[in-house]
Amino acid sequence: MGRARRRRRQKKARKFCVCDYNPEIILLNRWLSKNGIRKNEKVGLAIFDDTGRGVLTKKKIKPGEELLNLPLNLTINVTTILMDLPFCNIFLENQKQCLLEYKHSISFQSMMAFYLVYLKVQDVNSTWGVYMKSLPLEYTVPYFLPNEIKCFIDADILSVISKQKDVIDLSYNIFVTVLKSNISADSSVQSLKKMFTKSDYEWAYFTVNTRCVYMDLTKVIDLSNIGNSILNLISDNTKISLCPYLDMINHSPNARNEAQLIVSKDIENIKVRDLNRDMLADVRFSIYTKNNFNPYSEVFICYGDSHNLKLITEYGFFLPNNDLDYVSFTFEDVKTFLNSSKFKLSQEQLSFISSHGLNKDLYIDIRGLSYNFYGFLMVVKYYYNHGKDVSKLLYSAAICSTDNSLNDIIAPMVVQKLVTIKESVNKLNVCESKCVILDNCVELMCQYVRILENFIKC
Amino acid sequence: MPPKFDPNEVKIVNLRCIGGEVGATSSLAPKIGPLGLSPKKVGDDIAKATSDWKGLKITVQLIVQNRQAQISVVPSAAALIIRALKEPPRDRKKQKNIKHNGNITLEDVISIAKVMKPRSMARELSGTVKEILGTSQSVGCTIDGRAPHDLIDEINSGTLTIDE
Repeated sequence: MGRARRRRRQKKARKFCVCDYNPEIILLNRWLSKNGIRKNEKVGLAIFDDTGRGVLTKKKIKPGEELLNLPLNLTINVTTILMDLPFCNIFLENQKQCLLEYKHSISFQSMMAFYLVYLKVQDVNSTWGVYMKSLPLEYTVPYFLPNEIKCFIDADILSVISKQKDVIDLSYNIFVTVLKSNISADSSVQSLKKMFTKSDYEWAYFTVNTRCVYMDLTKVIDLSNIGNSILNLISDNTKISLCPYLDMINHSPNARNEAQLIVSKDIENIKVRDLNRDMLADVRFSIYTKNNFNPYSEVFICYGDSHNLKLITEYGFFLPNNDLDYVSFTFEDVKTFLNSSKFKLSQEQLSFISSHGLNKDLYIDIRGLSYNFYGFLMVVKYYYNHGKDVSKLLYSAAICSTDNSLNDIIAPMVVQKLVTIKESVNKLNVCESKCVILDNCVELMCQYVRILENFIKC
Repeated sequence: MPPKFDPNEVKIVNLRCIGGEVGATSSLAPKIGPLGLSPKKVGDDIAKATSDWKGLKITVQLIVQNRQAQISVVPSAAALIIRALKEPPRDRKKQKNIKHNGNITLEDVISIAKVMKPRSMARELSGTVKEILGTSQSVGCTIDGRAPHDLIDEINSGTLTIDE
């Protein structure tokens, strides 16, 4: 094969377009290098046909290689917020006693989102201006679906959306009230007061939701002695962080990686009031891969549990042929169904089920019933069966056999669910407003249909 | 809200089982069933992954993520010593109260100590070697034809030195 043909073949096979030379990416790379990022020299940014913007490797990457090493000061985490005094003063210089009034009522994710809006308002004046410019303008999570479409979406997706909506609404209202009663004269706070809108806050919330990584700083800072800081407002833990560049790496369920915080021994339990950037200069966050990546292929990391419901609702993408998908059933629904059929649950059975934890994780996946669902149905069928001890059955080899008679108990309920999902899919398919979010939801519902049809066939 | 690489999503389950045998699901099912794994499949996988430890009682660690289990054997000193004895395979149900009165070499003990070093509290390798020699005494075997405690005494008196 000659050189020209080899080059043409290589060009044809590539399903990406390198974007390292776009002006905003050049700015981002320059800003990252100036601030001490150490990234693997083999990697660069590219836009891939199937996954969108991602990280490309130009040479082979072997297991154990470090992908990225960031100084802590180059990530947005709890220390960044605590060290930003004008931002903290939004809560501290206030007519209201915010720390008392809203004690433990805001999640750390909401606080991060509020901080992002604060940074966005500052635009290029902020030290994070270049990073803010590199963030996507919109997200493909079902939260942003129009209301007229939401009514046809599967109940599982809807319940996640409604939980997200509750958290966003609650925290947004708190921040609006806090801003109204704020007495700080800082110009950035004043402009935040004018420009704080729900849509910006939603964007910021999902920026954190889709891009944050786990970072445990409890050994670095002393969170037990928070004094008069804004940490009094936080209702959960503060173990999340936004890492520039790392958030560009896409997800693959087969990827294996390890992330770790590199802290020198003398940095330990820093008091919240003593925090400063110099102190944290030597703390770094590093991520290693455990996979092989061929030259000119996309580099992936694994975000964690990867069933499609979570991927769609939290990150906004769908993985086809995902074996981890399942159709869940609530305990209440199954109980109501059984009470309306010939299998009525007695009080004894119910207490056995709840004491053995068989009322949770009731689902059907591509392999059939979940262990808990199987155990639950065993209790329904064999609890009063003389000569059979249900505990023995539950925890013996019998649990592994395929007892089709158990499937028959809930078959009518499964068929009903299948029909409902199919009807919704048909309605969504004729819907005019097509978009990526809707396609993802339809794909997931079709996956549910496949799982349920497979269960009924068995 | 899911931060990426949250270690809390990974569940770790420890089990005691007999290497190379499909264990009773009665101990497996309550631990791994609620995590969404099939006790039968995991039992078979454990039997396959522990085939090197046939007939020995070992601890197995399951790292469960994405409803998939990664199996790793956590070796114990006794299991490593009995494996080094290279005893013929036996039927656990028929032959009971086996005496492990064989012989292993000091090199075997040192290599076992190196495996156990990360889990040992000893500062030096000689300390770990003494721990292994203590376990050898309990198991009932000899080291190069000598009683394990004699070697411990030699290490204590400095007659026998163990290089790091």
